[in-house]
Amino acid sequence: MSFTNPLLGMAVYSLTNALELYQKNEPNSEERRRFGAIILMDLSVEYILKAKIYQLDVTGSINKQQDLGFADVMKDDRIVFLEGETPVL
Amino acid sequence: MHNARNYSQHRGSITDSLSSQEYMKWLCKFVNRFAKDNFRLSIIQELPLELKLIWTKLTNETVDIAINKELSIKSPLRENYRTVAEWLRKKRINSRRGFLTDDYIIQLESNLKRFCNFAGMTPDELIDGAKSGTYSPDDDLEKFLVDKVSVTAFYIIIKSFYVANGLSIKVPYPNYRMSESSTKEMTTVQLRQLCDYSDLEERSWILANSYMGLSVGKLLLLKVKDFRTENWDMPKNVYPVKIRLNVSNTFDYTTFIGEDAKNALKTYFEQRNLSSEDCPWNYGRHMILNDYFRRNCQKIGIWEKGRISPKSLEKRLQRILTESGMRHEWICYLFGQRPYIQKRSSKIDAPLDEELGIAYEKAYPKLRVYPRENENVTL
Repeated sequence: MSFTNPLLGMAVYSLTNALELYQKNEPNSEERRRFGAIILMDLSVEYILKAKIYQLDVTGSINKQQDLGFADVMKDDRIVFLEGETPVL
Repeated sequence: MHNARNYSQHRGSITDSLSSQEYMKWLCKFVNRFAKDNFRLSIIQELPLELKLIWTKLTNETVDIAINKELSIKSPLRENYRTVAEWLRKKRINSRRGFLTDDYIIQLESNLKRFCNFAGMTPDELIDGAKSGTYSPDDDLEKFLVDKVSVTAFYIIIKSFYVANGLSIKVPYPNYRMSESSTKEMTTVQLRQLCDYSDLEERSWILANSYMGLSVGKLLLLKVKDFRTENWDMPKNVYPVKIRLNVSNTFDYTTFIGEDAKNALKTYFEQRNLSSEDCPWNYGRHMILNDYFRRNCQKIGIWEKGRISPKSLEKRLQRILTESGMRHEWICYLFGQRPYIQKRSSKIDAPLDEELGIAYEKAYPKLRVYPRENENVTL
């Protein structure tokens, strides 16, 4: 797996791990897996949005990288969610 | 989502309203569409095989579409796309025999299809886009080749597709990605031990292959007549064997076996009463030869997992031929490496059978496993 956009790679990586945790079927660890999967799902969304911001403005987004959190990228007005893509919460 | 993460990070409970299944479905659909729209990236292509199925369930794609992505590409390509038909027509004309084998056409089509899937365009669209200047294959091709193991095969096939349609690609010829081989060379002493332990049938192929260096799969394709048994009565050091390789066409070439291998083969053929059309070691599955080889190596205590295999014979042969001064191109050619096989077809630098015979004669003292009777040889 190789991406010119490093944040996109991170998003796919998080998604892969989330899927892996989500589909695992081990007894006595369901709750832990659910927590883990949700964290990784969040990370995946966060990074794919960051990847878009990076694509739009490479230098600017590198400078801001430290300050950008999950909420910030969700609220970034350069990204518009289409119909049916509104987050579940 | 933000709340969910904070809760979980602080070891709080996840609220019941947040169903991870529902969230996962939303996430997969969202990431799938977002990546396609914004990065022209198909997520499923990036997932390991074991996760593709769950991905298809969550995104409601069918497995066939998701894994093969054949929705927009019609098979066979040669019948549905004029550019592919033209490409194959030119390849057919240029081939030495005037036809392409079915296996080769399937390989060409399948590699081109994978690139089409990667670029998200049909073969005709690839060429039309490049001609009108709206699409350049170079960036995509470079990315496409990054994680491919057989880079050269993909590169040659895609390049030839563009060239046949009157275009060129700018991506430079990629370097070979040689994987570090863990195979260990087998010494002559070990080889002799192994032959002494093996029965006649096993000894015959091991000895013969210590001169030919073929893969076990190719060994099984040999027939008795390929060994030119009619020449075996003449006392010589090395005897020719005809090998047939199927690459884009069928290529015949000659290699040699030593006198000790010939003796073992002769006894084996006579004992089994094989006719000229029989395949002497064809058990139906090459794994069986490998299994016998492994078992015998274990019995005599030379087995090393992942390091000793029939390939160890090829390593030994390669070293001895090199030390005996055989030209590098000839050695590559003997081991069936593609560029040299192509050269043979165009008659450039191809060694004559006689030249190979002389080179083998030179290497024979080191190659032979058993010395002649009354001969003192230090191994």
